[in-house]
Amino acid sequence: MLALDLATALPETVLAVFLLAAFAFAVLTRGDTLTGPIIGATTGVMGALGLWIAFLPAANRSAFGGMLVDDAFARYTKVLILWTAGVVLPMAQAHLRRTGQHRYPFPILAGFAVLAMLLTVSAGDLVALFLAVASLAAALTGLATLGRRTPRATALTLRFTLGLMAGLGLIAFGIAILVAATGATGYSALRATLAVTDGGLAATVGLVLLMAGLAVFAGAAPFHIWCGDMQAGAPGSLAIVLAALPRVTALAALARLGVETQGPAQGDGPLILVLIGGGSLLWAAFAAAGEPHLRRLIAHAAVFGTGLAVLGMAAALATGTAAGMQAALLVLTMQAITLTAALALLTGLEQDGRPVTAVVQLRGFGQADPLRAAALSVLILNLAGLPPLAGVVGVGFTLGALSAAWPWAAAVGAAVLVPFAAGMLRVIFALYTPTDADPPDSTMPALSYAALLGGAAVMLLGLVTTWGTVERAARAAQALWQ
Amino acid sequence: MDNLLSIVTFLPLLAALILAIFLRGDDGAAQQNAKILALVATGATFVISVAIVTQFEPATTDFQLVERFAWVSDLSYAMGVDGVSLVFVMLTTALMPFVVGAAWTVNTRVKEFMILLLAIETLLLAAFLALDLMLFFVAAEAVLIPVFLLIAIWGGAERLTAAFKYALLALISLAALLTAVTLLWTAAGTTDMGALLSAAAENGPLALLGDQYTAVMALLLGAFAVKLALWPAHVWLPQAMAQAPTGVTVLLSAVTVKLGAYGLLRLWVPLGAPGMELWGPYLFALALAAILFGGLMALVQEDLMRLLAYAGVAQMGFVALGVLGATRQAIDGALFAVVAHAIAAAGLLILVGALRDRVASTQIENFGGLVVRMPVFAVVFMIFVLGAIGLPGTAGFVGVVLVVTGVFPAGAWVAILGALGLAVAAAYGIRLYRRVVAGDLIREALKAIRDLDRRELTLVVPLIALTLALGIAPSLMLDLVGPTTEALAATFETAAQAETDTATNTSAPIHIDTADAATATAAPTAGAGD
Repeated sequence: MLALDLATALPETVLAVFLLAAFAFAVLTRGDTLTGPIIGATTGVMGALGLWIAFLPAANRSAFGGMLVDDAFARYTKVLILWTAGVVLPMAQAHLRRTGQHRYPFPILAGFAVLAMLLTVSAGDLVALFLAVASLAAALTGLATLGRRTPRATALTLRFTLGLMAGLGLIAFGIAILVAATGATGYSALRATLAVTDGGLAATVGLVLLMAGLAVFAGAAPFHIWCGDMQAGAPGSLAIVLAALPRVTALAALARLGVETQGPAQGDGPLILVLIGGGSLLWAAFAAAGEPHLRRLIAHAAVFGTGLAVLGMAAALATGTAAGMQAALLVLTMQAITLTAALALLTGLEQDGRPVTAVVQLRGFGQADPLRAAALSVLILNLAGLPPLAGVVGVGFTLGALSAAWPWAAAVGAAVLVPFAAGMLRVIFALYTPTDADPPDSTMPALSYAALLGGAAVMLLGLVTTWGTVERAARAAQALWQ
Repeated sequence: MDNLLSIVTFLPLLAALILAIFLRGDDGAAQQNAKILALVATGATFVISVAIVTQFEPATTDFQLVERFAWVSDLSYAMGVDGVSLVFVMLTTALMPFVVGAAWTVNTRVKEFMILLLAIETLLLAAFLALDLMLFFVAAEAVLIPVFLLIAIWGGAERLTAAFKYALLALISLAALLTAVTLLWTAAGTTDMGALLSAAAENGPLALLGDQYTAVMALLLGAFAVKLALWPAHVWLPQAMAQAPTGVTVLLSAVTVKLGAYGLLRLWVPLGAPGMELWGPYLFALALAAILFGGLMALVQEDLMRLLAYAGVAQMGFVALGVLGATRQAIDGALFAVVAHAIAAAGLLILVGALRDRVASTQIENFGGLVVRMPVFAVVFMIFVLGAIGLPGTAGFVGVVLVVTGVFPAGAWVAILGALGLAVAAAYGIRLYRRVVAGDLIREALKAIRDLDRRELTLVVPLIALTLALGIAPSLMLDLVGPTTEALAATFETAAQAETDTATNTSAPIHIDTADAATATAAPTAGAGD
């Protein structure tokens, strides 16, 4: 049994052992001078683990008595997390060097954050979920404190930490109530109990708190408050990490929790998710329409994506079909790629030696650097969900799933695209408006450059081929119901 | 050639890629090369697209030259042509060289300008030829981005307002169409237009869509009304026309606006019969209001571009009237009006663009007596104005007459008010001509104005030939599209008949409750904001 359990959790084990070894090695030998090699090695390990999980055939199985589930859904999200992190880490290096943060705890902490994310998406038990999310919060807080250099950054870090802790508190509280009400911790046992007793008010309250806590980590409205500030104030590299990954992780955990404890087409889960998702969409759309701050705008876009994904999940839960879940996975995948690629450029963008913060500061960039401006345009339009870019696939699938559950929600979802896309179009307009001032510029390391152009190319060609992503997402979504 | 449609569709995009990758520099020679390459590409696209006409079997009403490949998930990349799409495809390929020609005076960022024009041609052709609902949506709505950029970057002083007004309306249209398409997709379980429309024809649109029928039809109408610049969703057009460079005005008015007409013919007519039963008079009133409002607004404009924009609004009202009439004559008329307006508008806009290049103004008060210095201009302008107001002998006449006679069965008042629109058109046409061309030349600035040069003449002469040819021998086009429009009208008629039968039979399973219908419309129309 134990051998089988360990085999199931082998990728996580490999990552953990590697991180501990790297940590020990750095502490015992040359410390910060090893930062570069450790980042390289961590990237390599993450990339390799991603390949391993993506391409080695594996059956759906669980380990440690259902604590960890290794199914197509977990594998899909794990690959997404590993590869995004694998690209983000080395990309952050230049920024770390510039700000004097190029120290070995950074890759180690980031690695542990990723490890916690892998465990979170696999968690099939409330206890495992709590442990994983708590480790994630710890690792993220550690990462945030590394970047603390100015009073403003300290304040933002504090806010970020408080946000995470509030989320964690909600999760802990929810789990406690849920366990007290049902006496079960495993998802399948929970489902069986809920099916018999209907759970009562306590179980509902517990589940709502738990979902709300995960929504905090996902940065969904009304728990998004820390996202915009974090995006605006965090050091570049961290902003990238924070933009995409905890979001994917928390939403994946939410999806598994929703499907595996509630069963198809029942419970209050869908209603809460509709409120959270719809609220995120509305808030993000109208906030984006008038947002002058560039990175804050990107943060709104991320919240918008979260809203779409949550609504897709809600539709999937309500109808008991995988289509909405597939749509949610596609939205999250596109978001992860697009945000990473866009931030690869935006975080390094400077004007007169100072970071570019306002949308209007992008003026003149279109003429100064047509290629990068075009790539950024593609990414921004893709975030806006406009055809003919790949983002429209996620939007279309989500609305399709929604219209099967609640046609009015599909209409609202489409309608909020209007203010949202109008807000994003301002970026395009700014990019191609001539200016008398010096246009912004960014010295990008080769990897960031490749990420920017690669991301744009993927989204540009996304309607021609998605390299099987759509099918993989479908398989992953279906796995939740098996 | 098995992939004729794809070749025609993607040839402009290929040229755009070549421009993007291989053309370097922004000097005069590079700019000239960009223009020539764009002209050659659009010209070649037109020449190849003639093969579509020659291979097209007019008698067959099914989709022809069909290509089908698996696309994302269960969607497919499916293309095909029937009588209706043939008209729009040929219109696009034939007019794009004129768009490029009209844009010859652009001299900033020419390469990017031409890339966007070529990309738009591919998107438009893909939208007209798409047999998959999602493919249609993607192609039709993707036009938003390049048009936004064309206005926002190359526009006049108030380009920012114009571009955002356009974008906002276009986004509303996008949202409405996206909702309608997803609802149709969910209801029919397929995105294949052929399958969807035959399912609708078999059991009636109401059976297919159930209580979402009202919402879907309202959304489709709203989405396409914005694209067609139909009153009251026309608000983006006058400003966009006034601000955009000449090439873009031709593109907007002559080609992209027609996307709305195509959408209405492709989706509204086959599904619209129960809707006409329910809201027929109101919809007719809407189209008539567009005709009269557009005409009256054109009568009081002081800016040439805005005047032509409002004249376009009126003409598109005729197109909408024909679509709503849905008899064979009315549909033929709508198609004809689309083509006639496209040709006349292209000609007029090129001429107004020529004036703008010379005087740097489009205010009517700055002109007058042009006939003295510009006799050729005066003649050509006369022909296009007459074409635009629908004088016999021009293509415009055929379209309007077919529409008016075609909607007669729906009610004499509709036809009479429609005909009144013709009188208004005559009034603004004559006023326009009198104030710009006729009279004495008294303005100093005009004393040295040049007549049309060779480039401008080369652009307008084929358009004159085209409008006269179609005006004298409408059968050139009607024979090609006749069987398709007849089938379309028959589908509508059958559905309408079934609807009447159901309405008289109280125990019928399909019955639309007005209260239900009202609630179904409330949310989406409020959301779509049309």
